[in-house]
Amino acid sequence: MKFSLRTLLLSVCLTGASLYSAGSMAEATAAMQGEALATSSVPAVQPDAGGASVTSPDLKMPAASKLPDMGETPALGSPAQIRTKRDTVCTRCHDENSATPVLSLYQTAHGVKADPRTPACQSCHGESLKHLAGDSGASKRPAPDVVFKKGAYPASDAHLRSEQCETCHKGGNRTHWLGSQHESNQIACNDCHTNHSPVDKVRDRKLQPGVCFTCHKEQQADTHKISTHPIDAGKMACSDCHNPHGSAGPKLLKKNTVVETCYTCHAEKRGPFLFEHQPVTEDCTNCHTPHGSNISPLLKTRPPFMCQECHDGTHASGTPVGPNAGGNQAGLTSNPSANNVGAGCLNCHRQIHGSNSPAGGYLQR
Amino acid sequence: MKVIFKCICAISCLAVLVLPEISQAMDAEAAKILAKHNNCLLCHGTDREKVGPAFHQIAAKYKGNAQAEAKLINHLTSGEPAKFPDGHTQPHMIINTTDKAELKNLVDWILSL
Repeated sequence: MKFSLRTLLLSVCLTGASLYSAGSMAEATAAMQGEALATSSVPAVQPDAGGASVTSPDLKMPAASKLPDMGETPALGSPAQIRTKRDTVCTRCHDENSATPVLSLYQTAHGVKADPRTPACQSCHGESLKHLAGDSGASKRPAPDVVFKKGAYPASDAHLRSEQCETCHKGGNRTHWLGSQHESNQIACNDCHTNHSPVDKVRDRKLQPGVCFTCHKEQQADTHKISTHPIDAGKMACSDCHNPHGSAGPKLLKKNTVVETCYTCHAEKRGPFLFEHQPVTEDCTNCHTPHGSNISPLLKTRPPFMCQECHDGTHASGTPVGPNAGGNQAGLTSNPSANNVGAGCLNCHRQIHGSNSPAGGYLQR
Repeated sequence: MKVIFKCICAISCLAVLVLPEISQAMDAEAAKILAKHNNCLLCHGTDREKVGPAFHQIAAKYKGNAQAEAKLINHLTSGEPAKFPDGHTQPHMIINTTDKAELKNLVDWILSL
């Protein structure tokens, strides 16, 4: 069959016309449906019991919404909008191209915009009007009111830096912050804590010792000795014993005394015992060094030298401790000397932390 | 022989077209890193104007200017005064690098945008 030019043109026109009419019909149908939606009767939004309307020009709440009123007003907008607008003063420059993380704050609890309690940039860094305005006379833009980390500007004084956090984070574990060892040594909150990153290392038990060890190198070395608490194994963190924010006890321990702190895990040493060993009830660190030691178990010195720091004489104490504790032991006719027992005091005096046995006056049973 | 000659011509033409693109891509990455570390991007957006003009605006301004590279290098290293939108002037921040090749790379990248 010969295919003429006329036939071709005719078929193309017909195809185009049919496609166009199908498209316009579809559009008309959609438009009609849209109109139907727009003019459907929506009941007017009632003000809630608090008296405030829940509508704003841009954000219309669904008619049947039972969500609480977040304090939105028509003029200002929602708390999230207010917060975002306030932050743009800073984020118009300090955006995703910042060399140091800034916007990652919004991945943290400090970046929950919809909660009016969370701080804006200027809540912590100060209004910084000089920084915003610039200064023709200066060699560079003036620093913000509070600089937390040394970068283009030197960091602010530690007390000023900590004050910003203390506006919200005070009391509780931080009751003893003022005058504590860290605070007295010019350490501020952000020297350990990271705010602008979703991972705050000190709040992760496995990563926390690493932060403490940036300064506490001796303790880091101790944790690599033979006998140690399982810090390297990730089973214990520094904050299991210490409260770095300040403490009523010594050495920033969580509890009021050393023994109380140790008893939180080693409760079997608490007693009370029938026959007590006084250095045990007084302070565990009389014999032990908690961070690590090459003398198992976490001892400062080896027996018999450790025992001989208090118990001198051929065989330690000459006077029996308890009424039932007398008599010769191990078939010996007199008080055995330390050498006789191979300098292993604890071979016989096993209940060194205290004894509940009526015959335990020498802490042997 | 003719075939071989034609092949060689074709390959060399392709190389001339492709190689500059490869070298430009490498430059861009290094330049971006340098810009970010020196806080250039705090004031100069790559695609939008911030406190300072965007890089593509700078490139447009200096298009066809033979002195552009030298001028910009001088601008980054001399601390000459820069005018801000609110009217105040301030010395432009001096870039923290003495490597001339790095500096040239950065300026070339800006001018290519």
